[in-house]
Amino acid sequence: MSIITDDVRRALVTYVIKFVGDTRPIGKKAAQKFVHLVEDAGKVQTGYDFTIYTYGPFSRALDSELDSLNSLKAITVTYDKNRSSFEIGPGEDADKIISRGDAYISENKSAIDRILSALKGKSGLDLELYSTLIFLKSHIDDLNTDSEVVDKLLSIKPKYQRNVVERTLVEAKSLMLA
Amino acid sequence: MDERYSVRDAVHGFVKLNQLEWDIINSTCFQRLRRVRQLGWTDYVYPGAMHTRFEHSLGVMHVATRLFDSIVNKDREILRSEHQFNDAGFERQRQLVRLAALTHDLGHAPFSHAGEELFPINKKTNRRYKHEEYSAFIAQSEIGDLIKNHPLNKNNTGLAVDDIVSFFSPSMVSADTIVWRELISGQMDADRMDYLLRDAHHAGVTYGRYDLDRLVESICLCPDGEGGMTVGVDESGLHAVEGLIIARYMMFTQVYYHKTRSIYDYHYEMALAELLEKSKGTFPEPAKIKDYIAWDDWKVLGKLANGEGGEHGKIICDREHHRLVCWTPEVPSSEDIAEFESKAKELEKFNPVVRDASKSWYKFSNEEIRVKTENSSTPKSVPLANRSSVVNGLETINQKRLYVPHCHQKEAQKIIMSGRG
Repeated sequence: MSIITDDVRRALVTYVIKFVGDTRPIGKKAAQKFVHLVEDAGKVQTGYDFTIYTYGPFSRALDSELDSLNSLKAITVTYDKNRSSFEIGPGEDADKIISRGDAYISENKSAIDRILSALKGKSGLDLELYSTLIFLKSHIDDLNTDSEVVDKLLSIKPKYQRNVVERTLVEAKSLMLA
Repeated sequence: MDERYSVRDAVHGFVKLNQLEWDIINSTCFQRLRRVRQLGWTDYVYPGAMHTRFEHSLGVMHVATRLFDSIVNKDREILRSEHQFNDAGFERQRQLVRLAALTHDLGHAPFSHAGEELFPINKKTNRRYKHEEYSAFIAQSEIGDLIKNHPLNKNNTGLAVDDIVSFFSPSMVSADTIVWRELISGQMDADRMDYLLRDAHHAGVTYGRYDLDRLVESICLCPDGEGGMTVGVDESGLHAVEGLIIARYMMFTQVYYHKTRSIYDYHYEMALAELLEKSKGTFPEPAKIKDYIAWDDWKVLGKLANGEGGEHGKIICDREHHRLVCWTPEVPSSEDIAEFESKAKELEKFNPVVRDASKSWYKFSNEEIRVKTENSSTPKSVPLANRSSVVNGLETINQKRLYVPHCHQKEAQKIIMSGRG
């Protein structure tokens, strides 16, 4: 059974946003991918269930949590009309919210930081590729070999090139193994 | 496939069915849905809300088909070029969408979502199973052969139960169906579009109404800004989609998270835990799917009538539910939550129960829906929030409420009032 309480879950998401969005805000999709990667690549339970769509792994509960964290001033979610996208960064009460999950975050800090450091600054498209490959490796029952994973990814996301997918899979596997 | 049967539905009128769909509906596992109420114990507040997953499943199939047809009519060329679909493929996918919509709720527990906290833990994921996983198991074990061997599936149609299940199973994904997954479970899905209208109709409220016809006309594939496609609406559907979101907001505040309706989820969960005591307080695992299917509303009601539901079973029978004594605003600040927690501490001696909107089924959150813009040479889309100040103003509801047993209501209220003074 998941041991994640509301406070811990919110602290963890706020920690992730602060880590990757401290100098430059990130988008809503990127926030989804970072939390997913902490869960499936870092093997740190986040308390969210992700489902795969054409745009990669996505959690509805996390989507609404971002709004709630905005109300709690843990993060800021602002809409940039010029770029037609949401921008997310740490809020004025981020540290207060993070402190409520201190014990859990400290316990898993090395795994969380390792994933976030490795992927911070990557484009949304790159994060989507990492996140989808790691989701396929972690959750889809009938994929036994690397080439099956690559084929499956290309079948559901034809926008990527095979050589890019193959190269990213090698890196994704190393992230999962470390 | 020839749609020779029809069922008259309270919301959509005649729902047409082919022989395969008709045979699935007549299977034991689908008929069970007649004995699973859509909204749990909502009839304790809105007496008309006695409808079941059976009619909802027919409704979702009907709406999903309309959405599918509309998208294919508009975006056939995009689907051909981006996903290499062809005309035969569209026919097959249409049937898969219909069957996924029809079967997506097969796994619901008695009284639907209200019993989901009593699903067992999946040892592989260390989380509770979800009703979608039960739906997948039931479809595979109970109607897989029916689909495989059906006469309508003999003309190289190649319909396989795994393709159907890939719409809602967390551990399956298929290139053929992932594009359509959003029609079954997404921001603009047929599930929501049906349940809002249906729940409003049966509850006797108007909050869930919106313009379905306009939404069907305007639904389309939108570029997601990162090289992919997602389901959204064109600009003609802007106000219809606002209507859908406002309907969700109103239904959540007035029906799904109604103060009295919500506490019955708690009483039911406690009573059900008593009824399931012999199986460690949880439902049978998906591996024992026949045992699970045997659980329906009738079985639960029979046991409650026999007095097997303990203290909370009696509360349900007598309608002597716990009473609401304090709550936060719908969108609480950190200070509101701190104040609520301090009141909860003061009331500890009454064994209070806290209910949280963020954990409610059908929670209301302001999700992103894409609107396709038409005033540029290349197709683009923007989030609905870009065009709608109404939607921009809606915030995710995160209200907390605290209830105490009926007999302690006045004393608890006194303590809260004295704190205020």
